[in-house]
Amino acid sequence: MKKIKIMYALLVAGLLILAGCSSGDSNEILVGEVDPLTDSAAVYGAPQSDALKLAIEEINDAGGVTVDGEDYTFKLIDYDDKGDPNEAVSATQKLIDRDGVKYILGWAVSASAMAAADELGNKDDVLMLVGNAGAQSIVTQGYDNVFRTRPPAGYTGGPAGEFVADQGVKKLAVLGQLEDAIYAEYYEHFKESFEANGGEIVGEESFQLSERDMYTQLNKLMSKNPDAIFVPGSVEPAAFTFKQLRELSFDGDIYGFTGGTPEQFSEVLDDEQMNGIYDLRPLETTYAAMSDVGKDYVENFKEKYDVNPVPSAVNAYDQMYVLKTAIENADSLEVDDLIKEINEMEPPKEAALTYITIDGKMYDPNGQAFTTNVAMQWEDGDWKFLEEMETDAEEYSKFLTEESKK
Amino acid sequence: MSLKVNNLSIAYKGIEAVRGVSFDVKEGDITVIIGANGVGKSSILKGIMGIEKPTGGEVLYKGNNILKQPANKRSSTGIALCPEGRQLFHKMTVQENLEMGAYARKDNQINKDLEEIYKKFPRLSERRNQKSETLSGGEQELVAIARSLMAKPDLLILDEPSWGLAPIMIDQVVSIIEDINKEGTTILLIEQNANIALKMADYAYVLDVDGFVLEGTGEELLKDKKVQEIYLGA
Amino acid sequence: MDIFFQLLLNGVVIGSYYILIALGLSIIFGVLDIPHFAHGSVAMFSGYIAYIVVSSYNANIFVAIIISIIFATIIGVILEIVAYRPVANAPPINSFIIALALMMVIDNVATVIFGSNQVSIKSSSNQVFNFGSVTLSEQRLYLLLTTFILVTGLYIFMKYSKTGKAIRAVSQNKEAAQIVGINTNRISSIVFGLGSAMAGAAGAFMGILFALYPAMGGHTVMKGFAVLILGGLGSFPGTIIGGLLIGITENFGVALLSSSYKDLFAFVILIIVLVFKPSGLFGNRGL
Repeated sequence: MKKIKIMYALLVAGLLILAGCSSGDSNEILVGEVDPLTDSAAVYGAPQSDALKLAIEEINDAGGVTVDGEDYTFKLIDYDDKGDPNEAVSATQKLIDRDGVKYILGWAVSASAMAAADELGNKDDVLMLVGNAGAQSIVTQGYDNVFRTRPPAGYTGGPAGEFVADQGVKKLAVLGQLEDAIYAEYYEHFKESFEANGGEIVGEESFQLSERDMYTQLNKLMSKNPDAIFVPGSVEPAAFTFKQLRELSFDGDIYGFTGGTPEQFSEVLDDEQMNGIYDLRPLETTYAAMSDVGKDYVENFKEKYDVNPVPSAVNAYDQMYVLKTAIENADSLEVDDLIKEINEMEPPKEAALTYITIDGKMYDPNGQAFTTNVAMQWEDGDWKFLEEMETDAEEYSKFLTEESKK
Repeated sequence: MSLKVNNLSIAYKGIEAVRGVSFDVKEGDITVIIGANGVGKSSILKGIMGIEKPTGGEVLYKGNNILKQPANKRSSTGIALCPEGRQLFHKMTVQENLEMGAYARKDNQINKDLEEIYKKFPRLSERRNQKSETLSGGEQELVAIARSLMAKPDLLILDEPSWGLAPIMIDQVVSIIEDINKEGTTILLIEQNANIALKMADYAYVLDVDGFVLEGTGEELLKDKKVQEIYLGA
Repeated sequence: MDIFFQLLLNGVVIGSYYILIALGLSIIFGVLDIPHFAHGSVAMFSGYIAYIVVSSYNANIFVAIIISIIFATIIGVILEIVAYRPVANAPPINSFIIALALMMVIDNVATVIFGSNQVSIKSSSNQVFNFGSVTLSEQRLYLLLTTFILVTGLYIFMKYSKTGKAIRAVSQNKEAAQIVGINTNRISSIVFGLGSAMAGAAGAFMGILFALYPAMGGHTVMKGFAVLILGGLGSFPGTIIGGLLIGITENFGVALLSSSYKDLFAFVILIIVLVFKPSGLFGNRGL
């Protein structure tokens, strides 16, 4: 009787020890994500989330990372901020306090990113890698632990203004989501550069994200006889703007900054109606000008999700590879070590976008990375690469540094 | 028998308004029910017409229990109601109201009958294109009666036709009802004005809170002492 | 002043859409005293059905409109029989609650079935007509024509047909209507059918001109009630004038001020009119 009891006790103890040893948690690196997964901003947030998941899946399938001799895989914990800054801050706190996360990626909406950056900027032991959110101030607050792949909207606005002037446009009408920070910033730099190159803005009107009927604004603008019209805004109201421009027989050129996929526009307009419309944006995906790595990313995304990635989704994909590469290079999981490494590193070889390095580094002193800016034009059901827009990344980086001193 | 009511009961929100009344309406007669305000006279008529749902009893007409049919079938069965308070289609003209009276009819004599009605009610003929709400109380009563006649009923039921009318109008209405009856229509009438009702009646019932307390011919009831005391103000 | 006529035309077009929604709501409310809050949701739902049929079978714009109308009519009649008729003789608050509940149910079902993305009914009817300085797209022309046809048809029906007269009779005196032999249950179904048919047309055009999204039901029906109250509850001409007025005001308002306040214009006009004429522009005229 006694022998059996002792045997039994030893067996149970042994099992418990074994169980303790093989708990998966100690070999998982937690990565947090905050993105709008529902509500109107989900049109940008959900694809970014998908891209992030794709990157993590690829990294884990390839064996994960090795730090200090230990093998690790990445595990994602995501939160839906519904495009609301309060939700974003609350999600951030939960990730840090409750889930014990040190690295937070995602960030499709500027307002959320700005609110969260103020919350965890310069805080110990947390790293924020921003994807799609385009507001300039995210990187001009002097937060050491905040980095962003996607250039601020103003970085593209300037070159775009020059480009439109170079096309021979003398009188330009503008209808956009001008009350939104990201489009307002883009337009600010656009206007400066367009006017500096001899152009005249004959009228400015705005629409809201949820608006669908732009007839009144368009009528007002068209009565000023512009050569062309510029439409910076979210893909949904922008698509209706394009459709209504065609209905109103507008015969000038149409320039946009919208970041929409072919599917999103095809939902609303005919191919014929879209032909000839420009999109002036940072180099992102779905374009022939990309590197092979970039093209692979698009193919892999299409294969996994059955649909083209929204152009700006790639920013989160690259951020994940930045994290992975930094961990490998620094051979550490400590945030301080990673920050040092990210400030020095070159773009990772698995990054889908091609970056313009500043002093040979991926990120400038403000924590901002830069890609080129391109002019795209719709032809036969898709955006076709037209040309690169002349851009001075270093000058813009200096501008950001100036802004951060204010 | 034209109409036979057996044990009809009607209740509103659990309170009994009509407690198992039974009476007959003889074909060709003018049958009258008199009684004070609120004893349930109107409820009986509404119950017969199906506008209120009785809680018990049956109403036999031409051999069938008409309570089993929905209210809108009464007209085609041959029963028309001239309701309490006229209940005209107030925004419709006199003509449209009369046309509506013939709604359930499927024959093609309607226009002919319309002209006959106008001959009987010359006042209405003059006002045929006026909205009925612009007519006087008496004229509206005429419209209500005319509308119910347009259905060519075998049995015409009238609910307080003298209500709110000047004495001259009351006389006119009484004579119209008697004419209609002479032409062959059976009449069932409830009235608060016992005097004129009993003078017209071939047969009459006196309704009280607990049910019928008296019945007899019009003449008999006119001579009854209790009736004289309570209802005729003698 | 170049754009004055274009803005006016835009206002009439948008006003036509409001008329389609409000007229259906008006006859249901005017005849049956039911505040059919789910009316906008019916428009949305039938619009989605039209979208699915059109995109699956590559059908044209007229098919979309007809399918939406048919579906809306069917849904409307079903709602009357299953949801509203049981409470027809109960206190009005019951209908009120049922109407609200229906709106929430239909909106949620739509979100589950169709997802929360907006959809547009694409069509190849993309011609544009120019009249001097004024432009009218083919799709907007169809909206004007459809509204004109439906409104005229409804008017003629209500004034001259036997059923139309029966409907008016029911709305003026339900008891008397039964007495003269009108089947008021059947009339209720017909009224819901007619009203919902117009909602179906509206839903189709929302999808054709702009986009459908599951949450649009509430927004649409609120505008519909604003038009109703502005024009005078239960008044046919009032609804038409009210719809046009709100459409035109919104357009000029956006032109003069800003589009952020577009929805406010309808309610500001409503309040102004009610202050001077509490029963609405044509209140107390009746069907």
